[in-house]
Amino acid sequence: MSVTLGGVEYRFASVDDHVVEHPSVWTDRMSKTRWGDRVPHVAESDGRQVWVIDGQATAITEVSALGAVLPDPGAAPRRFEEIPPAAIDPCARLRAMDTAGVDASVLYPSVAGTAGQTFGRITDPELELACVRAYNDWLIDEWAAASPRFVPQCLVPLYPVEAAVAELERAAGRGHRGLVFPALPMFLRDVPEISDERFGRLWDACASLGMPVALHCGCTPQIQAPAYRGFTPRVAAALDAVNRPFSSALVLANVLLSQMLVPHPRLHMLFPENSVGWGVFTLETMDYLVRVDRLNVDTYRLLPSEVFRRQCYFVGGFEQFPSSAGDCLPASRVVWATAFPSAISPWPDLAGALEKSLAGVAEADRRQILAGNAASLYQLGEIMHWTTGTGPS
Amino acid sequence: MEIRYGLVSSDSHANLHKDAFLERMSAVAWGDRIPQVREVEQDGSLVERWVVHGKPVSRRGVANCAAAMGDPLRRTYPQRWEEVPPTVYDPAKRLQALDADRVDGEVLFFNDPVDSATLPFQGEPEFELACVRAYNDALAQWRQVSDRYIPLALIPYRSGVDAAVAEVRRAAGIGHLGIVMVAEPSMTMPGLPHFNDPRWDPLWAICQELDIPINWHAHAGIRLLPERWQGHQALRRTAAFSVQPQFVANFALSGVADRFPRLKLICAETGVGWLHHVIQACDQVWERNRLWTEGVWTRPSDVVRRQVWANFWYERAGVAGRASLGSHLMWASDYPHGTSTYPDSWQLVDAVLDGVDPDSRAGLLYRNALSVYNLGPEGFAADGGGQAATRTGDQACR
Repeated sequence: MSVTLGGVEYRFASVDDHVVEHPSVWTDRMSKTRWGDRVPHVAESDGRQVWVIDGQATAITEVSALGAVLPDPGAAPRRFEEIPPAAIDPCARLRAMDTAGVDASVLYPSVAGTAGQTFGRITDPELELACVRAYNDWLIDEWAAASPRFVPQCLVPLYPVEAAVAELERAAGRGHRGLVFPALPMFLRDVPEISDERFGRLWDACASLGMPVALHCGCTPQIQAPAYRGFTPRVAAALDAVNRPFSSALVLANVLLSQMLVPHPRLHMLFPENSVGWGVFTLETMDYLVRVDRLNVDTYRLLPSEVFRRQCYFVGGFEQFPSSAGDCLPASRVVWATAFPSAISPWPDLAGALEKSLAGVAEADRRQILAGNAASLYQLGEIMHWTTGTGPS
Repeated sequence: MEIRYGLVSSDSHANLHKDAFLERMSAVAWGDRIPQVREVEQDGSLVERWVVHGKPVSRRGVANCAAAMGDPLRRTYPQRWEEVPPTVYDPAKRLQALDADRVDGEVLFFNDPVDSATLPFQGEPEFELACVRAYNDALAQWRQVSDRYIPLALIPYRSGVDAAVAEVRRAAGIGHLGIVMVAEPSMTMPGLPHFNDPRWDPLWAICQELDIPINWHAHAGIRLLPERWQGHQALRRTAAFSVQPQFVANFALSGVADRFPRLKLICAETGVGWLHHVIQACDQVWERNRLWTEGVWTRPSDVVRRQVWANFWYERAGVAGRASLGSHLMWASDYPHGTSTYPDSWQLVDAVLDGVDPDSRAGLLYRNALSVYNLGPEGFAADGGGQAATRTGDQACR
């Protein structure tokens, strides 16, 4: 596998793709005796299928963005059998990755929340843990087992931190390589916000296990402007696809201005999606605001962008790499993703999209952005050995 | 406006004199509710504050002017009116501050007691209207003092759109060159129509007819910052700068620009580095979802390039990455706020514009601003071309 840009072959590890959980992920793994109907399951409703999670019903399409694999991105499937296999089946996904030239894919949930937020709303801690564990086990059993090209990332119960750390360690033992954590847990239920020192033990555990933390956009509508009610569903979805990633500018600002990363210098953190597009603006803004108030004299020993460049990554998608940002955003802090199978994914013409996104970027930087950085973040050495210079075989 | 230094601030803040409302509003009708500066007790000490409706509007000080206080740490705010530097509220004396900073002119947004273009004036519609008219009358005086000032009017929200239209017409007649609005009326004042609602069309129509740009300032009346985060000042400000991009995306998809293709929208105190991303993202979803089949006729990037402007002051990368938006970016000083470039504006200008060619530089530093507010002296071509000024720029001909 490789993607060819300007006649040069590049390995490509897409660091933000979404699995689509099939109907029996949780029913296969959770105790029916103990949880009964509270096990996440699929039910029929007016000829369409809905997910029912702890009593809450949601249309299957509300919890899986499939635009990239649908003939008409605006027409969502009503039933599972209408979901294209590349979205839901690991083997079909691998074939799609072969076609597009994707070597490795870092996996995020859909039903469990694009930012891992769904089960955080469950107030019964034992049910939350059971749901999270079932997802983590399923992702290993059915996706990671299908191919080493899939990079599984776990969820953890939101709180208390002891429970989160215990599940993180268990998941790491089963082969998970990263943590997907909702950036605004306090909007899911009454728990501290992520910069609270009570979460410090979780970040320490991630750092010592070498598991990057991904704060994917879209974990809560509270930081996003609601769409106009008069919009058609398609226009509303389009606006959401623009504003959902941008709302993460607030998340980035909270992470860096709260200085939550300062005591955890070996923790790696990523901000999917499209943060290459909006991130430089936020970094420049924070640095200026810190400097103009002379907060760097007493409060901030390191500028926000310095902490970012020490341990964070932006995640690109359809946007252009901002070469004009220069030292503010070096290639070493950028990874790339296809965002498969959502509508914003450039799939299937990945090479065409990457040519545009990486226009003017030097070959060595392209290798770093497309594969090198991801290979070291997720320990992809075995399947990505060529990033060290041996070239694709 | 005569250009001597080659620098116009497209975001500065005029504080009205403490008696501005008292002198213009009916004491009989409004009594103690009139916005005024009064002594109040705060945390056990006696201080002076702007008081509207009998309620103090700020805890921090009597004027938001940290850059004018001479404190290099920008942590000092005046606690009594006599501590407020006259350059903050006296249009004649303020010219000295402009000259000291080598700035030719400035676009005047509000300062205390106004916040978010409206908030302290909530109350019954008649009170809001009386406050807005007094504000607009008082600020219009600044342009009588000097044409180096570009005043922006407020509008009333609670008396119906016709009252807003009438106030825009009246404000333009007394010298205002733009209006300041909240970005999403239905979020700032629940019950008002959404920005996209055709009920606002008469307002867009009058602004288009009179070529009065609509200005959104910083958080523009909308707070998306989670409460538990509000402890850090830099975070509050960063969050404020991150609001408008979401509303520009809405504007680009709203259909308002199709109905009013000459309506101008200016994003003040937001920075500019996000603008290129917003148009890339909107174009991507417009193409991917074939939104022209859903009534969004114009490509979002074309809407933005035609109708949206934004201002910068600290972004080296943001300016370097301006791409095709060069003629729509404008320098700002934010005087006299804490984030202002004053008194060393040129130092930051030279750092941010390092390597920018002279013609683009002139556009970014003053021509684009003069052009968007219809003050461009004849012969000025804005950065990127196509924006040549059409008027000779004197208020008398409006």
